[in-house]
This record gives sequence, C-alpha cells and structure tokens, in this order.
Amino acid sequence: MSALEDRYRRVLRLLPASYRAEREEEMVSAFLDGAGSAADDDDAWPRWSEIASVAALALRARLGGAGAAPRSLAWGRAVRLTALIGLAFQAMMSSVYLAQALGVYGVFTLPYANGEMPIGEPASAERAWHLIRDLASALWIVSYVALVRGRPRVAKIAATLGLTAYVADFVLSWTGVPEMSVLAHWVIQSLMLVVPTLALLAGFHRDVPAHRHSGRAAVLPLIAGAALFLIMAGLTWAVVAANRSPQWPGMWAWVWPWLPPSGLFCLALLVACAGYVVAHLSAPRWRSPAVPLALAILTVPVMLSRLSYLNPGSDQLTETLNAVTVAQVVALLLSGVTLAVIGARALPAGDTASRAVS
Amino acid sequence: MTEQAFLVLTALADESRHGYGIAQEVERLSGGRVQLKIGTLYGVLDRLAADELVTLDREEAHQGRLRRYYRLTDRGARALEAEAVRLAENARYATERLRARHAGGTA
Repeated sequence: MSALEDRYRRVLRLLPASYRAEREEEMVSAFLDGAGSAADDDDAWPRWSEIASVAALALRARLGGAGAAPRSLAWGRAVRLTALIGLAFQAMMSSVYLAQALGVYGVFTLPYANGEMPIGEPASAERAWHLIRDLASALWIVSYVALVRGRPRVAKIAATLGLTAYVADFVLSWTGVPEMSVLAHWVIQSLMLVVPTLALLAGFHRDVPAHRHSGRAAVLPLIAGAALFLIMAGLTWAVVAANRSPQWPGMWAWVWPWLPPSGLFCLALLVACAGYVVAHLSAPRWRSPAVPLALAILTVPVMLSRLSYLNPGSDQLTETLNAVTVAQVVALLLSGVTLAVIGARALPAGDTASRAVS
Repeated sequence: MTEQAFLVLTALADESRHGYGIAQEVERLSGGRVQLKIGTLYGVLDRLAADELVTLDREEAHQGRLRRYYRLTDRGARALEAEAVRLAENARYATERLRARHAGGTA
C-alpha cells in the first residue's frame, strides 16, 4: 500500500463504518486513478478539496443522506429538530429585542422608563450603526420563518449573517475594553446561537427534501415573542417599583436568574423535557428518538450559559442568585441525561445502510 | 436536477463507467468546468442510486483494485431526457430573445 493510499484511507475513516464497508475500495481505486503518478510518491497527500468532499459526504451519510441507515436518518432528524427549536427560540427573543428597539427609537412608549439610550443623534452615522445592529436580530426571524416555510438555503444565509452581526457587534465593543472574563462569558453565551446554526448548516443538507410547515408554525414564536415582550415589560416595571422598596431585592433574587435569554431558554427546555417524559410514559406512539435527542443537545449550551452566570461573591443576594443558577444547571443536567438515554434507546439498532450498489 | 447529477447521468448515457471514469467524462463534457472530487461524486451517485436513476452494472479488478461500473437505468434515461428537453427549451427561448434583441439594434 502506497503512502498516499494509506493517507486517503485514513481520510475515509470520517465516513460511517457501514458506508466504508460498501464504498471504501472503489473510492480508493477512483482516488488513486485520479492521482496518476503521484500515487507512488511517498510525499503526496490528498488535497484539501478531496478531504473536504469526503468530510461533506461523511456529514450527509451520518445525518440521513441518500440511502442512509435508519440510525443515521434518526440522527439527521434530531439535528434538524435541534436547529428548528433553537431558531424558534431565537426568533421569539428577536421579536422581543425588536419591540424593545421600537420603544427606544420612540415608535411607541415603553411602559417603563428606559432612561437616555446611547443611540446617537438622529441622521448621524452612530444612529445608523445602532439601527443596523438592532435590526440585525430580525435575521433570526427571517431564518426561522424561511426554514419553516421550506427554504433552508435562505434560512442558512440569514442565520450565518445573524451570527456574523452578533460577532461583529461584540468584537467592536470588546476591543474598546478587552477583558478576558467578558470574552469568556460572551463565548459561552454565543453557544446558544452557534449550536442551532451549526445544526442548521449540517442537518439541512442537499439530500434532505425541503418540508414546508404551516404558516401557523411560522408565526408562533413571533406571537410568543410579543407575549414575552409584554410580560418582560410588566416585570421590568415591577422591578423598577420594587427597587425603591426597603425589602429589595426580596423575591426578585429568586426570579432574576430566569430572566436573561439563557434563563428563559432553561425554563422552556425544562418544561419541554418534562412534557416529553410524560408523553413518552403515557403514549408510546409519540416515542421518537429525534425529540429527546434534540432537547438533550440543546440543554448543553443552555447549561454552560447558566454556569457562566455563577459569581464568586458571598453576600446574601449573590448566594441566592448562585443557588437558583445551580438548581437550573442540575435540573438541565438531569433532564439532558434522561432524554439522551431515552433518545439513545429509541434509536434504530445497527448501522446497515440501504444504499443501492447492487 | 443539479448540474452535477445531470452531467453524471449524461456520462453514463452511452456506456457504463467506473467512478474515476465518470469523473473524467464529467470534466470532459463540461469543458473542464466541473471537476468532481471523489467524495462529491459518490454523494451524487448515492442520490441517483436512491432515486433508481443509476445502478451497479458490474465489478472488475484493475491492478489489484476494485472498480465498480455504474449504468443508467431506464428510469434514469427518462429523467435525463426530460431534463435535456427542459434545458433545450430554456436555451431556445434565450436564443430567440437574444436574436430579437440583436435584430432590434439594442446592444
């Protein structure tokens, strides 16, 4: 075996075992035919473009590509559901951010005093930058709606742009005051966007037929976002009022850890996990590996995000906040592990592909 | 149908070919524009095989290595013909309109 063949076979290990069992020999043969005289060169390596093509094929084969094994198909559905749920949450939060932005720009009056927001003078470059930054969150809504309406390519472009805008916004503000702790906190927070985006890019590959859901599914997170905006506005008003009370923070220390995006996602996931476990136990026909695996995957970035909120302080307020945060992390961990086990058990056994080579 | 799938089906229209033979023929048919990497080629073959447009014809040993030859199925031939007609129609419309544009004196 030549060095090039050995190296190419190592690249092919990216592929699932069942795929390699069927295709490895002919792929090696085709690759070496194309390599020509370089096939016997000890210093020759497979080109990056060849490696990338095998990596892309491996991803599709593992996530329900054409003729994939039932287990790969189930994983493909789980990854696509991860993208769908993650984007639905981001679409809901983006609706809240957009509504808040409209209030800040004076389109309507917010039910609480938001003070003087640094959005620049009207018609200034600074105002334009803030406007673009605030409107960028709409990209997550575009991504979710496009995905639900059967346009995964548009969804991918919108999510990638949304992620780029999110990174650019942070880099511009962070370079002004470059603190590593701030960077670390941001990186962990960004996982809640990165994980669904990666799931979107990987799961909705070209072998997956586009599925168009109803318009109701498309607007549901937007309606939830509008309701959440009203709830958050009410809570903000209540916090501002309670802040003047001598009993401050009182019960708010127990509520506060649920209010950031990761706290809300934590709450939503815990409800969804509990709901799925009940459905799993009571109605066997609802059992599927995709739902519990998708929920289990999403608990990871949310759990890490919640952990990043732990503070080293020892005053009573910090201790209460930390206690709630630890409870959230433990609940997410237990839910995630439980659903991962349920999902893994529900996965189809074996890895035998139905790929037609005969 | 993607251009890659169309070219692979076209490459198999006259005779059965093995993986590298298909990649070579696709490159020749496209004037060197489409160079299928091996991972990409087998992704396309998987999809075409799943849709029953191509199937395995035979296996041969060549210099101690396995070569699998693929051929077009009847269904694949019909799909290729339908796509070729569609593309020819599109090309005809484009040619007619360009001719009219040139005849009208617009550059």
